[in-house]
Amino acid sequence: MKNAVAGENKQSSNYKKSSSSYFSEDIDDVIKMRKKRAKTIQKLQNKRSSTVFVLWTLEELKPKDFFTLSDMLEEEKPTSDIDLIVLSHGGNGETGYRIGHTFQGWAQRNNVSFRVIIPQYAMSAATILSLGAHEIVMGLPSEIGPIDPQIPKYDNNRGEWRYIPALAVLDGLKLVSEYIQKIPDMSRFFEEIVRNENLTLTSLGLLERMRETGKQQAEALLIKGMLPEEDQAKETAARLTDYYKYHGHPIDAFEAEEDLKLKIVHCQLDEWQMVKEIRDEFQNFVGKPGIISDMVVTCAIETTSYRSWRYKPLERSREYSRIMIEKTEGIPSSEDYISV
Amino acid sequence: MNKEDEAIKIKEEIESASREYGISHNQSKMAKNISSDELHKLRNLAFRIMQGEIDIDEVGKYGKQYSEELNEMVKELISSSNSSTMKELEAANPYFDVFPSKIIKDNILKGDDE
Repeated sequence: MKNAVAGENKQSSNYKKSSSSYFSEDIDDVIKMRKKRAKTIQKLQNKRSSTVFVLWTLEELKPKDFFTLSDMLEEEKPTSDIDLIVLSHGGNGETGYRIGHTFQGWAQRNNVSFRVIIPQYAMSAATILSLGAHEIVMGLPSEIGPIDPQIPKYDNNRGEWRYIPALAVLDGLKLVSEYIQKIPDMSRFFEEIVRNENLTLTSLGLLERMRETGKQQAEALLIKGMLPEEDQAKETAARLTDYYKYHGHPIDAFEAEEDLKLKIVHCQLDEWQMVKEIRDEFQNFVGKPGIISDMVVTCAIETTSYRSWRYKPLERSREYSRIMIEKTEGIPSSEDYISV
Repeated sequence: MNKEDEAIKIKEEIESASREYGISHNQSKMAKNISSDELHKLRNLAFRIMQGEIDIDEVGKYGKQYSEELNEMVKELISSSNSSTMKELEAANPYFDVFPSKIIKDNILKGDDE
């Protein structure tokens, strides 16, 4: 009967009904956190006279991230400069290229500037994305990385698609073939790897082409953006794809500027403080267990008015928490540094 | 979007994501007395049973209260994510990740009177 009386406020009563469980208390916190992030994003927007987008993902960069961001770009229709704050350890190279190219194109058509802000890391495919910017905004802890295109592969054990680094697979195969030259019996081992990994002639060819594709994508973005001189763009792209031996090599703001000749803005003072506040708030939400019962948000794409989150069950999110812990351990909260 | 609408929206999102992974937030009557930590442990156990790491007979070893919940969880997991046909479909789907995630216009800062 009580429900019938409260009929005029049905949604509200449903919400209140469920708020007796721990589940809805979680949601109140989620809304508070979202509001706090939106306020900080707005503060940075006002400071930089720009429209700020945030792509904060602990998953591999996926085509759906591009489609989500392009939907958001269409909705926001920014006519001021665009700042895209990125945190990503990489993933699908084409996705990085498409995001970078689309934001670059939008900015050029609207005579505004497209800037990528990196509070911590934008590796591999996210580095490709950053090359589409007219300038990259970095602080002392920020890093980009060598371009290491990844290919989608279905993981039977986990029952889901994953992205694996193409160059690492090529390096692994090269290593095994070197062993075969020394110990011919190893060839059986090689056959087993090829069979287990489902590597066909086509996929091996694809791996090699991926390396060249990553280079081409980097060149194309650089020429239309921060390095219009073709020779320099080619040199930078080649260094990013071929020079570094370790794919996780951290390229900081100084190396990016001096060796790669990228247009880097060394962000400091008030603006960097705001970027760090945004970093802290996203770090406290994305990949953090215990905010939403049994689920973890592993990817958040946000502006002040729009949001898109992807959830994973806690059981499947352990590796995302691990990535977050490994990448952020030892990073103090920006509040620790507020001087008196 | 006001706070309650937003809360409902987020709740729906979580429930939909939960269903995708075979987790139900519609806990059984028994589960109301189970803490969220215990629930998490049970869910871990259910995953391991589903993956064949632990024998299905384990379900009966945790007393009535936990066994009922565990049984439900295993059933949900099996029906939603362990179907070989579903796995094959997923593995063969070249469009597995091209659909955009839903974007929500929450306008969270509008009408902010706090």
